[in-house]
Amino acid sequence: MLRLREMIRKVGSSRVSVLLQGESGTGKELVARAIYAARPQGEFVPIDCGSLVPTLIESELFGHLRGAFTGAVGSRSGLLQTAHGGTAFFDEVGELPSEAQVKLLRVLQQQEIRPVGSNHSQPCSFRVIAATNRNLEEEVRCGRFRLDLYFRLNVVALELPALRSRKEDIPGLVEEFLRKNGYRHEMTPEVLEAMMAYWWPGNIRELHNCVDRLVALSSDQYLHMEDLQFHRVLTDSRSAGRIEPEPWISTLDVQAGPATASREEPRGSEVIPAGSMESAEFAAVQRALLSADGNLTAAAQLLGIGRTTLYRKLKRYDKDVPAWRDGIRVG
Amino acid sequence: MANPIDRNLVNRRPPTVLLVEDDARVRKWIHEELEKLGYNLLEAGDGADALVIAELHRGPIDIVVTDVVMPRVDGPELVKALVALRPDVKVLYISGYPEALLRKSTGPSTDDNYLQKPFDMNTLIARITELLDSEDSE
Repeated sequence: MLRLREMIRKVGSSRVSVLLQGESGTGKELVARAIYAARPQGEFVPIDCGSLVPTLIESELFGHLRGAFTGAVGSRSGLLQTAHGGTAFFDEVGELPSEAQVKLLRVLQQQEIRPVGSNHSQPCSFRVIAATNRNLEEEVRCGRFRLDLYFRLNVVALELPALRSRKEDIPGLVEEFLRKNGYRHEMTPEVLEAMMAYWWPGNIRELHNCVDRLVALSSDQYLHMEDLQFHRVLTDSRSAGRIEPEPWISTLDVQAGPATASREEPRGSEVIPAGSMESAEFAAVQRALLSADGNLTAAAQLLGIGRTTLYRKLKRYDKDVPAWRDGIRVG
Repeated sequence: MANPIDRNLVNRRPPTVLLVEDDARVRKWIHEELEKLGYNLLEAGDGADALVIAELHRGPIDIVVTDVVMPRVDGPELVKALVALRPDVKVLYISGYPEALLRKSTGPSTDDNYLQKPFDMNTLIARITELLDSEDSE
C-alpha cells in the first residue's frame, strides 16, 4: 500500500498520463482523484466510458451548438471542454467503442476539439487518467482496443491490488473507515476473523458497505458477528467444499437473504449450477434487482460491484434496462 | 520467389522514444512524425515529468530526445538522473542552445548527440536511427 501511495505522490506531481488497473471496487476513482489533488489544476472531470451512448459520444465529449442536430435546442459544452486545462478521468476506458477511440485519439493528438455543428476548432488539452478492470493489453491483442491509443494512455500504469491480496490491511481499513465516518464502534474478534477469512469480491467498496451495515444494525458500540451477512456463505462453502463461483455472485446469495428465499430461486450451495457461470451470474443479478426493487444503485451495492459494472452486465445480457425494470415490477 | 527475410527487421520491436520538450507545437510535430514511422512515443513537457516516466513506465525506453532549456528540471539534469535509472538509454539533445555551452554542463560526450534547432525531420530521424543502431557497437 505504501508503494501505491508513493506512486500516487510521484505521478501526482507531474502531468503524465496514468492508467489505473484493478478490479471493480478497488478504488480507481479515489486514486484518480488523489492524483489530481496532488497538483490540482483546472477541473477533475470523470467520464464514464461504459455508459456513453455511441450516437451521442461526440456531443457529450465535444459539446454541440444550438441546432446542430434534431433535439439540440440549446448549445451545450462537452465534458472535454470542461476538462480543458484540468484532468479528464476516463473510467472503464476499455468499454470505449472503437469509433470513440479514434475520436479520443485525435483529440489527444491534435489537442483541439470541434463542437458538433461548429466550423471552428478550439484548443483542448487536459491531463489524462484512465481506468480499466479489463486487461487492456489483451484487448489490444484481440483488436478491440487501438494500440496507438493504448500507448498514449499507458505512459505510467498503476496496479490497484484486490483486497483479498492484502488482507492484512483490513483491520486498518475498517478502523479508518469508522473514524472517518465518526463511528465509535469496535470490531469483535470474531467479526475481524470472519472478515480476514472472506475473499471480498467487491473489494474496498464491499468492505465499506459491509461496515456501514454492521454499524447500522448494531445496538451498542460493537460490530456483531450475527449481523455479518456473508458468514453463512463462508461456512456453507467450507462444509460443502465446492468450487467457488465467480466470487461476487455468492455475496449476493446471502445478502439477498430470506427475502428472496420464498421466490423460486434455490439458495445456498445449490444456487450455482456447475459449469454455468453465465446463468449463475444472470440469476444473481436478477435476484439483486428483485431485492433492490429494480433500483440499479442499490442492486449494485448488494452485489458489491459498481453501478456501471452492473449496467454493463445488464447490457451484455442484451436487455434494455427500462424494460427490465418494468419486468420486475410486473413480476 | 520471395525475398529472404531480414531477421533483424523481423525481430525488432518498435523503438520507444521519450520526447521531452516544453514547446507543445514542437512536441506534437515530432510525436506525429515518429509515430508514423511506427515508433512508440512517450512525451513530457519538462525534465521532471520525464523522470516520473523514466521511473514508473513499465516498458523499455530506447532513446530520450530532449530539449536543453526547460522549466523545473532541464535537459542535462534530466540526462544525469535518467542514466542512473536506465543506464542503456540513448540521448539526443535538440536545442537552439549553443552546443559549446551545452558541452560545458554535460562534459565532452555530447558531440554525437546534439542536434541544433531548427532542424528538418529527416535529419532528426537519421540521428535517432544512428544512435539506436550504435547499440551493439558500444
